Amino acid sequence: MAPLSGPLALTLAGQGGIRLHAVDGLASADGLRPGMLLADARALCPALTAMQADPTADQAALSRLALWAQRYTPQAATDGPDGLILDITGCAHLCAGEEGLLADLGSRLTRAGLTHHLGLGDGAAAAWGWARHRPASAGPLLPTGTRAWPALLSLPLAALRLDPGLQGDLARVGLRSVGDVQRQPRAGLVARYGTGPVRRLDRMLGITAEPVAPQAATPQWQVRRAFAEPIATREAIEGTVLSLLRDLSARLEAAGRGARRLVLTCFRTDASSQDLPIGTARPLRDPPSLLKLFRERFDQVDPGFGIEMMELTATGTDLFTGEQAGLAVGGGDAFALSGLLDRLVNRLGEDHVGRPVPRDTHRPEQVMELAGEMEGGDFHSLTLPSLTAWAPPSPTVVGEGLEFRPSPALREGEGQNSPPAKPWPKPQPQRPAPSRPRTWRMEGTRPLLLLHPPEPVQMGQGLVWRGRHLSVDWMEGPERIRPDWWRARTGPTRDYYRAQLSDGRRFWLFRTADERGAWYLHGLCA
Amino acid sequence: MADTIPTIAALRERLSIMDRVRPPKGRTALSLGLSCLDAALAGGGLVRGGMHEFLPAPADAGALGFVASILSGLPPGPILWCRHKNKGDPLGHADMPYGPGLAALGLDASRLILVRPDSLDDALWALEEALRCSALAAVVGDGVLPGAVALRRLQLAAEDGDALGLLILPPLARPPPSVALTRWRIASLRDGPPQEEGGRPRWQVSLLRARGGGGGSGSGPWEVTWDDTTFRLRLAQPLANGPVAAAE
Repeated sequence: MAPLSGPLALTLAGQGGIRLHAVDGLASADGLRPGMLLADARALCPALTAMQADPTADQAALSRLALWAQRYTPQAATDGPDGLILDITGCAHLCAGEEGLLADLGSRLTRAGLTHHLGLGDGAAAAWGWARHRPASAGPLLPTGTRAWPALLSLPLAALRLDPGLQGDLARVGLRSVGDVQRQPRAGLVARYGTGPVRRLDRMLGITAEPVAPQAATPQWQVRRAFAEPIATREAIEGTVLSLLRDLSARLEAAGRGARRLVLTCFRTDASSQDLPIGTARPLRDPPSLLKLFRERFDQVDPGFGIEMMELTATGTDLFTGEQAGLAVGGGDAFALSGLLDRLVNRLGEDHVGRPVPRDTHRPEQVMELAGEMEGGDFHSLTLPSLTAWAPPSPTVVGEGLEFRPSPALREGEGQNSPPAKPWPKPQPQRPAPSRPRTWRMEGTRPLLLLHPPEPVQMGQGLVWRGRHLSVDWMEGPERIRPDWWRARTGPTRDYYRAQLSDGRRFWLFRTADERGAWYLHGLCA
Repeated sequence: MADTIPTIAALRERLSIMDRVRPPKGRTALSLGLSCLDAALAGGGLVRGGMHEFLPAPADAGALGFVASILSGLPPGPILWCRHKNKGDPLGHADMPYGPGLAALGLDASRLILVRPDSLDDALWALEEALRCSALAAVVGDGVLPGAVALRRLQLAAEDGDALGLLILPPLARPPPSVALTRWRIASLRDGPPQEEGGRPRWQVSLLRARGGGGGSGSGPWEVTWDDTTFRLRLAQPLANGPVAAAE
């Protein structure tokens, strides 16, 4: 797209046609204002470029900016469609006072290419009104206490942030400024216009407090490092993470706790931020081993034009159980193993690492279940997609012959390779934990590899599998396996056979014991 | 002249250590449980601190069964089993070994840590990490065919961690050369019907190569079978005379 030269306006469908949503400086100089009809605007300014506005994306960008603004204060939140509110109580001294903070914030926003109006006051309402409606000659900083009143009272009525209807009513009776409203008898105002104007006025003048709801709750375990110069190299990032981990580890140690989930947030110079979460199988606070876990994720860091601040937060902590080597043989091995499992799970994803555990059921495909490793010895079961019960496809599909069709469950399973970019969810047991059998039940012959889903075969003179004719030496069976009677029926009873092919391979086949009598290959035996 | 021969032998020894031609001395070995197989190997079994490769036949669980029966002889400890779903693998959808079947070969599947990476790179990374971990009894790469450099890395990692690394390769007719300590080819064999005392797992095992030479008793092929009463491998009776003769 060619770069724009003329005035630009963003439009939205509004009452009576397409109306302007926002205008740039050139358009504003031509007399265009948000809310105008696009047709009127074009009459005023034929060179206008109009583009569709995207309020949802605007809001998302604004909340990203609010997260970035947490570099100044943890109490940062979005305010309306176009504002940010920062409660800097107790934070301004970090930037050499309020003037320093305003200058720093202003220059960073300018560098990021954002037009902004700053205002700093005793309360949120005063700052809101001052930022938007102060006279051009005044600075962004309001005096404290009642010394700010003259400046606030001279602001136009719109600075009170009333509903448009209410604001119109007040304007119609001749109240043009905040001061006009303040000079009216309060009883009469409340009687005619409700408590709205009075409450807004009190908030603006600092008579009643207005709380700020921050964008995200401030975590307890948080350390940060701001840089004089933005960093972008891997070595610098790694060094910073190590020193952050050392700081955090000292605090965790003082509290006798270890980290289970950590989030590393990189704040970039273009006013955006990136999160890197990791999880551990047991409480950890050893900086080198935690750094090892982060190393697997450093490839995902996109420093852009440079990272100007990094913040490390322990979003989950547990009581630290200590590094005492066990008395039993291999006490140190247990730690080596859990370190390995942490690295595997953090790089490959929680669904890709598991320990097989037996389950009490008749269905062969559900006898083995994989338990996740993140919970240490206490297995929580992940019901894996490939272990869901298999039900035979509708007869029409079988009639099509040997075409292989993965069941929807399996296809979902194959698609699940999203990176584990979310913090570890607290594992919820999916059902009340049944008493687990401790050992693998050995009854009948079982395959070494289970095919899932079972593949249709045709039996006749020999066996046809994937379009190939295979001759059979002998067959052993049948072994009848019924569905679990205590569950809702999931399929027909199956009769299992073991068949030896003439080349020595052994197949584990079954035939459904219903009127179709279809044959399937379900596994390979030794 | 009398002392030159030991000197030359010592020099050869040093060179072979530097070249990594022979399996390193002083490493423990895992016995295969069958004396004729052990005798064919220089270390008296599968030497720890190295990689061992097993070539299966297409769509055949024979190599898996043979590896499982070897692993059943390991001292206690978890075993990492990394199964990579190869695109060319005819069993691409059988995505894990099956616990009850392994139990019949004496391997408790609860010892396994199953890892199922999405890509070959992840699989190789996981194997390398696991080989350097001292807490594992063995590391198995199932369906993994590493390139020459990757296999070299695995071999060095196994030497560092004194780990036993087993690779079940994809079924290839002509596998590329490799630096693994041993390479075996396993294929299932026919056995008599179960009604006539047959039906046991029965494999043809051939030792394709052993680094630093074998133990001198040939490279097979041997016909071995799994004895499900004693829970160990034994040489199979010849089948040529029929099941009746075999039973005698």
